[in-house]
Amino acid sequence: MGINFQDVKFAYYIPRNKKKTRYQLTDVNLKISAENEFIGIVGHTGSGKSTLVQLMNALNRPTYGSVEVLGHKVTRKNKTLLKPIRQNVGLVFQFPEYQLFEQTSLEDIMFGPKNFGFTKEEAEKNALEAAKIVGLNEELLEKNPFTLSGGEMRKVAISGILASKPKILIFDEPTVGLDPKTKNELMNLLLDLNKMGKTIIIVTHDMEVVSRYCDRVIVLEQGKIALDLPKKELFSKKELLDRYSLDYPVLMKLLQRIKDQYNVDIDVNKFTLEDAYLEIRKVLGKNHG
Amino acid sequence: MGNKIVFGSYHNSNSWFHRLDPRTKLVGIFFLMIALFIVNNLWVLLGAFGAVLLLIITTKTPFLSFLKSIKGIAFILLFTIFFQIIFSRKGEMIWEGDFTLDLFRILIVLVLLIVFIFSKRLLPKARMLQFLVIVVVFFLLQYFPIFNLDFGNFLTKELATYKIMIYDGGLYTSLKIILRVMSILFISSLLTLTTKPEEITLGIEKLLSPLAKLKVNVSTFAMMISIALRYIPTLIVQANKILRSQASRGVDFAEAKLGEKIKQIISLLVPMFVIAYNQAEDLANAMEARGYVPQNKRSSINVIKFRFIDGLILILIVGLLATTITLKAMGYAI
Amino acid sequence: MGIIEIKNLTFSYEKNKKIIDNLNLSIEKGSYVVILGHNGSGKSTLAKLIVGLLEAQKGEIYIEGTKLSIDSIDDLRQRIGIVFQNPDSQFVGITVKDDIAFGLENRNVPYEQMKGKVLEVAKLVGMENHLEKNPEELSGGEKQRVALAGVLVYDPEIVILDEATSMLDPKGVFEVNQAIQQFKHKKTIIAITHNLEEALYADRVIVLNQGKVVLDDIPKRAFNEEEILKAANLDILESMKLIDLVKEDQDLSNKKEIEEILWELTFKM
Repeated sequence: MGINFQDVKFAYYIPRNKKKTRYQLTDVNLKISAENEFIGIVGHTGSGKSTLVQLMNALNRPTYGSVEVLGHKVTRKNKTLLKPIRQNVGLVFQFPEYQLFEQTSLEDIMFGPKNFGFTKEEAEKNALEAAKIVGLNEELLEKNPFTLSGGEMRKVAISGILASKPKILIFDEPTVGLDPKTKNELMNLLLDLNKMGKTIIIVTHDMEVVSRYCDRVIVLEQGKIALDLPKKELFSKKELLDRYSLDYPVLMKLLQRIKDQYNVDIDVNKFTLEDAYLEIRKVLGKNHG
Repeated sequence: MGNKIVFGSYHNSNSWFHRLDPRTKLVGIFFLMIALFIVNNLWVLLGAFGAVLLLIITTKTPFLSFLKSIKGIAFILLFTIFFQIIFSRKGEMIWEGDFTLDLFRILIVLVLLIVFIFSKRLLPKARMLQFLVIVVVFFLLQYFPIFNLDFGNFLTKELATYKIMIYDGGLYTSLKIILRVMSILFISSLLTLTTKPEEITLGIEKLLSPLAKLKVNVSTFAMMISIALRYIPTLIVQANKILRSQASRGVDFAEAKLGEKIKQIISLLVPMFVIAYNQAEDLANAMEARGYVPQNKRSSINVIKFRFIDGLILILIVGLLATTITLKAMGYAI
Repeated sequence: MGIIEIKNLTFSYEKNKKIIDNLNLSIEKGSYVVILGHNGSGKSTLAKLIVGLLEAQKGEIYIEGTKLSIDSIDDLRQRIGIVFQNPDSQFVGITVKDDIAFGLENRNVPYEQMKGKVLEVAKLVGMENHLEKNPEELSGGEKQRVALAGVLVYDPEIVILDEATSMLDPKGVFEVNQAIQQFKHKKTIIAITHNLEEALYADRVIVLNQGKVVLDDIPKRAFNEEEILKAANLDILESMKLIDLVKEDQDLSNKKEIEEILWELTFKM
């Protein structure tokens, strides 16, 4: 089960002369499990990242090929019901606070579940649970969402998606504009959700976040999947990062500087604090006696 | 995509028409439209339309852009013409037909309709066309005598008989309507297709500047137009994002009951309003920080120059309009 | 006397909630100052107060010796430019050239003078080939560069960057930073951010927490103050964390040497 892309090609617009179609995505073959994965999707602006994830909850339909989501197969024109897909694959857009509109935060969180067929009681129960998971203060639930702070509004928005109990969660650029503390809080929340068994997919530019939280990295380039590998593999091969012009995590940059400045044979392919420290110690450190 | 609605129209082929002062185009097009409404002679209208086509050719603008302007109005136009042709009694009758309606014919059409409704899967394409074909068949059936079937009096008992008469006056009027509408559409498209939006805005501002004497703040008005033009594409992009956000939350217009539909519309309108408001506030701050004071006199990075050729064209057009009005007042059938 | 002098500044949006709390600050002409703070620390409010978009309840702001007030603000606006965070919400013009020229148009500068100046600043930020483009055709980085040009065009002495790159992708951040390099030592620059990396190359780092200045020093000393940074909800640098590991390492004999290496390299481009 999970998500399965088979030979997917996607274009937003097909002109009269079909040969002139510009595809945003081509040759997409991808399998994502419905549980426990933590995936980072990276690539330049325009490489197709947002288009790709919007195929995962059927906001976009494949122009060619098929996307099977939790047993529901979606092709360009078939009749599959899309609501079950959208309920089970929750998509949180960039700046999700813009989707708020209800009179109270609680009502807004209940909006999604009600649309997906939950009863009012179930929706309320789910909403309260979701608010708890994201760390939203219960008092805030009765307030108008527009009176809350930016960070609180964002929590309401995320709760709104969580409350429909999706199995898979996709976050499009979740950390843009956030200060370090809020960023950590958010990423830890995603980690908690992952530990609860959900598959988390994030679209991001932030290679620091990818190196710390993701298990698997998918690199998009010009509408194609250029790389799909475990995180450790990507960050242990500097050439790969260079080839696709991806940012280095800060620790790798530092190690690179040590190498350049002191001309020492140091392995720059380390991205965790412990590994980086051990390497520095190995190359530069002197022991007592 | 939203870009194309406001800006994408401008096509720079640098013709003599492109280089005219936008004021000339604004005033000229306005006067020409008045003239087109006054004129009512078929030959004059044909000539006018031909002149418009010639004008378009000289501007070297792709003809396809003009045809697009007809798209929106095509249906209403066809509808109007249909009624003109069927119901006009002007001129001489050129065709007359007897139409009979009876149960048998009604039954045939009902069968066709039922087949149409349930054939959605088999024949999904051009549904509107299929429906129109049934309408046409309906009338044809009423016109032509049905093969002499002996169903007895019940089915073939005449329920109604009527005549449809087509007069040449109707045909002429329809033709005139088409020519007039297309001329007006093409001329107004010419404005946006050959003039940069920032220059149109400057042109409007300068044309309205005398109103400043009446304490109307023309410069602020022009700024408002400019900002609106600037933000329409941006707001369209954001509306699309909100649509997708809410769709991800289960909003589905097709399958919603009325009560749900209202809430779903609110889920789109409220965020758009909030986004627009926030954008306006941020923009106001940015404008103020860069020294914008609404009452102050401002210069412009755009330049429009009224040249000899502009004067010539305007005189020509004013002359044309004056001639048209005079001839009409004098009773000539122009 | 600094080019900006802030004395006893206090500001609240609503009663009993001070966003800026009795703030005192002096900014030296020609310096590159970074103001660090978490979201809600008051940093953006401070920026708006300096450019006169907000009026403080208490205290004074002096720009080049002149007190900021309703009477002086129109003239003082000539001396300061500000670039905000959202690339879409500060783009006024229908095209790039219109947006860049906006500041000069507001001052009724004649066309002949504007033409050259607009082209000059467009070249400075690398947007000279995009002058006829509409904002919808531009990336975030390009829009922010246009915003920068729109400020540089009227030659303010002070440029404030209010989280100017926080909504951009890495490419955009790079482009904007490159553009800033073009005038870095010719103007007084105040960069407001929550990203520590941006403060590494500043002349001076000021940390704001709950409307107060809690740290004001050169970067090398400021980043040593782990406790203050943590209390201000800011991250500490990765190299600081490595240095902490060095300090704790019992078996290491050349601790000082490695600490210095790490510290030096942190501040190298």
